[in-house]
Amino acid sequence: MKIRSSTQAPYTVRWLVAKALGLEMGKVEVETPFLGGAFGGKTPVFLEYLAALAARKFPGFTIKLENSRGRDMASSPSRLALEAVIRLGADVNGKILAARMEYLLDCGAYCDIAPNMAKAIAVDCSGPYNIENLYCDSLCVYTNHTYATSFRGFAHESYTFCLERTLDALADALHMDKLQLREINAIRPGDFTPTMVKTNASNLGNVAACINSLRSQLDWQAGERVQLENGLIRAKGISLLWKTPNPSLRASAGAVLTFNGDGSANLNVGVVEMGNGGKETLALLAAQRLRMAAGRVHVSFSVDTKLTPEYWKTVASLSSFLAGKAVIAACDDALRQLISQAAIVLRCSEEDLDYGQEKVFFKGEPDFCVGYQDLVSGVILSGGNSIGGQIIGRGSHVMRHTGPLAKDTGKGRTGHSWTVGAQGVEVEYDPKDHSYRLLRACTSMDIGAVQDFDAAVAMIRGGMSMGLSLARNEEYIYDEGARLLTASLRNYELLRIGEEPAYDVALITTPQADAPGGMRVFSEHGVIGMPAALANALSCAAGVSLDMLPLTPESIWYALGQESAL
Amino acid sequence: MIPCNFDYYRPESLQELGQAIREAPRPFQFLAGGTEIVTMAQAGEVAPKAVIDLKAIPACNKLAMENGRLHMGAALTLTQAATSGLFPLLGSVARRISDHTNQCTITLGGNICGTIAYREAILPLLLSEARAGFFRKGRVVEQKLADCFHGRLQREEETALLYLCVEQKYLSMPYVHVKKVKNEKIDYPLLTLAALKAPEGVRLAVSGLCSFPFLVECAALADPSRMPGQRAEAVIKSLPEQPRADSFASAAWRAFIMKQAVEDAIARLEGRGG
Ligand SMILES: Cc1cc2nc3c(=O)[nH]c(=O)nc-3n(C[C@H](O)[C@H](O)[C@H](O)COP(=O)(O)OP(=O)(O)OC[C@H]3O[C@@H](n4cnc5c(N)ncnc54)[C@H](O)[C@@H]3O)c2cc1C
Repeated sequence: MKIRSSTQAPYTVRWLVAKALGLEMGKVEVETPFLGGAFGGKTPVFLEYLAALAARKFPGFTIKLENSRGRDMASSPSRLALEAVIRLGADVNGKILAARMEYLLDCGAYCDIAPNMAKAIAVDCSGPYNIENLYCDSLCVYTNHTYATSFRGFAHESYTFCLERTLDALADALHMDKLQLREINAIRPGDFTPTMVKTNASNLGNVAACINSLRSQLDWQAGERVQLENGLIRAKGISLLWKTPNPSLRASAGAVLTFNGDGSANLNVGVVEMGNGGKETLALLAAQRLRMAAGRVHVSFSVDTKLTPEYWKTVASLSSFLAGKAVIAACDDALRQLISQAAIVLRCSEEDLDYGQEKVFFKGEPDFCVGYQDLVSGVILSGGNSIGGQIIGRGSHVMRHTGPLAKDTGKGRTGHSWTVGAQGVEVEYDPKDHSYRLLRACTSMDIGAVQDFDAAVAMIRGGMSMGLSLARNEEYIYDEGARLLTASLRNYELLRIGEEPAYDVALITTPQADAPGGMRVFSEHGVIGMPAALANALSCAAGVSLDMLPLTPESIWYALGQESAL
Repeated sequence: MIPCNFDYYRPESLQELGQAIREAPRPFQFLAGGTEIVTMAQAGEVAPKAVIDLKAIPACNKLAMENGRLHMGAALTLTQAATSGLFPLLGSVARRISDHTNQCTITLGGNICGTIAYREAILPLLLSEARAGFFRKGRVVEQKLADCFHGRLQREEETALLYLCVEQKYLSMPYVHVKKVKNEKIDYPLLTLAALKAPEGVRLAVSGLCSFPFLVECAALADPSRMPGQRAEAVIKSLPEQPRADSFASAAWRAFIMKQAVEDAIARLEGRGG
């Protein structure tokens, strides 16, 4: 059976469809083209089962199954909904001494990946803050809503909203500067995470540097709230963020490197490309490792489970780390072979050789060399005999030293490192009709090392825009019979181009020692603090606690009415 | 994809229109900008056997002052109506219907005759006592728009709207137009309010607030002895039905923004306050 699917997880589709239909795994071949975006929603296996069943019923026929937009919105898994009760205890100086939290995740009628999201919330529940006494329950609740699956941020954008709103409430109660409160409590190397992982500069990054950078980006000193002469109010809101991946145990990546007769290389990895530049990043890594020009390592944008070595799933922002490690291993394997063949051609020992610019050369004498093109398909000796063979690099990596959480204590390490950041939003609010405009959105994020500045900034801005859209407009609304009323882009509204604020992204670089090039993962993270920052800005502007999303003029008006009715 | 076959007629005169109506297989639909027909046909909600395109009929395309009246063909696009600058209030309303791309296709007649209930373009026309020209059983018949518009245009089957016309005096009267949506700018209206300052007093027409657009009928509205806030209060009490509640907004929020918009409009048109 051959399945062509728009999925982030072709290897999971192969496994689950084979299992469901009782087929050998090798009999199911899954092909995934270049996707036009995914953001987590293409991780669950859903339509594939139905198409596979139909295909089994009609052997020899091609079955095509496609959901209309409305049907997809109503029946394919959606983003999660979350409610929380958070209690913080702090001393008069703002140091948080204890916290108790309960998160209830509405997972709809099926659980899919929701328990993992509940776990991910628990693992990072404190946010990037050091809270010594911490109690957290994070539960999935079945409801009669559309079932939930992963979405960019993997529930972090939701719990961060709850937590960061509570921090603002704490700052208000203490009459304290909101950025300072966060600074006092920020987690530092040496502190422990909620599940008792000891942090260091490499696995944590620099929260304090992000806070400082945000302070100048937002011009925080100039004031949090300003009343303009025309009656409008400008206000700023902030949120910190952090996230560690939650891959399954034995999440692995494989990579194969082959060469073309002109010495250029082909990189074969199972990462699904969805416009995020995942494959590009890996090709760049390989080019750097092989000391070749960037354009000389080629990738194929589609994935075929029969031809491409397995990659766990293209989720959790892990490609550059997990697949990156496999790619580096494959490059090293190929380099070993190149050098050993070159040693024969150049009649010297391997230690004498170095490489660069697609050549292997005698150390200190770059002209005494042999080009990759004369090595990759075996070598011809001066007498005319061929020896050796094709150079094929192989590499793989499996997530190491991560594991489940202990049942009674909650201790455990689910991810290898954190990515931290600080975000802020400035709005202009009209107290008369409660409408508002997004003026600016800022992020300072510690991404370890910068490989491609523009691509990194674009990735983070994209996340920020999605986070603002979520907070400002997006909502699944059900009628009394739990029928979805917003199964169309005419009433499930996304941020429009004219509503976008000015974006400002600053990158901090505290290298992660065990990561390729020192790079931290950051593809999802831009989204995480935006809903909270927007709600904090508007709460400050309107002078009322806005604890629900989305933030429409009506919801602000409603919150003000509720408060005056108290 | 439109999953049904249909015949296509494109009459170039009223005579040809009459012929097309006689010949076309039933059911047929008039076609103007096509934005709604195409969407509905794609969704399988309509499946006409024929469409009669009104866009080549001169009377439907004319935009000109004639004998002291502005004649506006029903097949003019919203953009044509707006950019002519001849009827500023209509232009202001048209520029906020859907988005710019759709405004270049949606027609005046399509907006008024269509199924989507907002029909915002009707508001300036109701305020300015427009008359509507129909093509009914081979003849052109003209009627006062207010007499045949009750939430929707009441027209006999197989009757096409050819044009609308407005007396010149209305075109330059002071006006206010407010469109409130859920967030930001482009969307269906939670409320669209058009107000005109006629010599007898302020007139209001609204769309989005209730399930249909209507002309406000409230004696207190034009009573200059009462404060704008009080008059807005009275207007809210005189609504033909409760404000609607849907996924865009609650009834209470619609009533709130309506009251605010009415009060503002009166104040602005009567030169009080801001
Ligand atoms: C994306 C989108 C956003 C929209 N937003 C708004 C909005 O904000 N506010 C608003 O008020 N409306 C809005 N509309 C509704 C739009 O104005 C109507 O759908 C309108 O009918 C489209 O005009 P048309 O010329 O394309 O009509 P068509 O699709 O050509 O026709 C629509 C209907 O009207 C009939 N009809 C058209 N012209 C005539 C005529 N001269 N005589 C008799 N019958 C006729 C047709 O037979 C058909 O039944 C929106 C529509 C879209 C697609």
